[in-house]
Amino acid sequence: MKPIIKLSCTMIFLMFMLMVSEVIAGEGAPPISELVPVNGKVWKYAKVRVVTEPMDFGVFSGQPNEELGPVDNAVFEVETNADVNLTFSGTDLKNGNYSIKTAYRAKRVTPSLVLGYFNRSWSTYNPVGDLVVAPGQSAGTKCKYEVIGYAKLGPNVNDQIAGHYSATITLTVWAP
Amino acid sequence: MKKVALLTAILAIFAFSSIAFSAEGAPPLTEKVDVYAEVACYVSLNVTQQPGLLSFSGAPNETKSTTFTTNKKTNCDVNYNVKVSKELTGPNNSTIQLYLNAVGNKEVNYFNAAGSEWNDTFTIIGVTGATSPLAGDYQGEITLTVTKI
Repeated sequence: MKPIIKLSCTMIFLMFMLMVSEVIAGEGAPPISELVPVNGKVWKYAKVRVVTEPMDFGVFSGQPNEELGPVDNAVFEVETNADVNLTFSGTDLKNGNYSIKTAYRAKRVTPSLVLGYFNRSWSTYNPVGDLVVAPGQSAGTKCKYEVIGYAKLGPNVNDQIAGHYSATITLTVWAP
Repeated sequence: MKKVALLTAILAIFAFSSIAFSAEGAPPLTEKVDVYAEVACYVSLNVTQQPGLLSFSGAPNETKSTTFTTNKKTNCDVNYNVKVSKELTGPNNSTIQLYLNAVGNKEVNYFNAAGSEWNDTFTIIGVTGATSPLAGDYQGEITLTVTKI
């Protein structure tokens, strides 16, 4: 009896293996079915957009140590499909060789979070350099960043000549 | 009873002898034996060129495509169905829409007659949505099904 059972089991196993091999090979009596894998790859991508500009301080009267701010209307929007870091940088307001000390503060709009100062700190106006936010923004998100500015004239009237001054705020997005 | 049995025996011998005699004489006696065989429905299906990698820059509303080819031989009438998976799936279940041959199309059906060989080329199209898909590797699949009619 035992050899018969063993033989039956062997036959069933062989039939099963035959069926499996047919499916893999894609050959045999229909219906047959095969799966073909499809692979895709999405590379890191981020988009930076200026939502509102310019940041306009208006007009200084020219008095020594005159200070204006906070001034807003500088908003960036960042969309990214990967975790990214952010670098905010800015310059003093300049007119040729003359400049007005300018401090900037960056803030994430939603959810609200103050990120810090760059170029100069307020209210001391000491240089602080760029503001690096790392980790900055998570993959698959779109965030707005608002920058407000403060500017202060020098202690002497002749520290700044009358005229038009301009500066630039730059937001750089980079993958770690 | 004895007479009947004897008569039956004589008739039997006579009949047997006549067959034997007939087989030996002209014209020759021919007998036919039918021979039967049956070939089952059989299909050979091979992917002769695998689809390439769908490489996306990550920008929204991006379309990329790749092709793959199959070879099919059949000895019976069959239907051939090729269907792409609903979408490519990547990190955090991020998805990219997948289409076959044309945007919006998910599957194709062909009739293949018995005794034929077919080489088919299909185009797989991936389309990203209005928002940038997450960076990373994505997987999907194509299902090839041959059904006897």
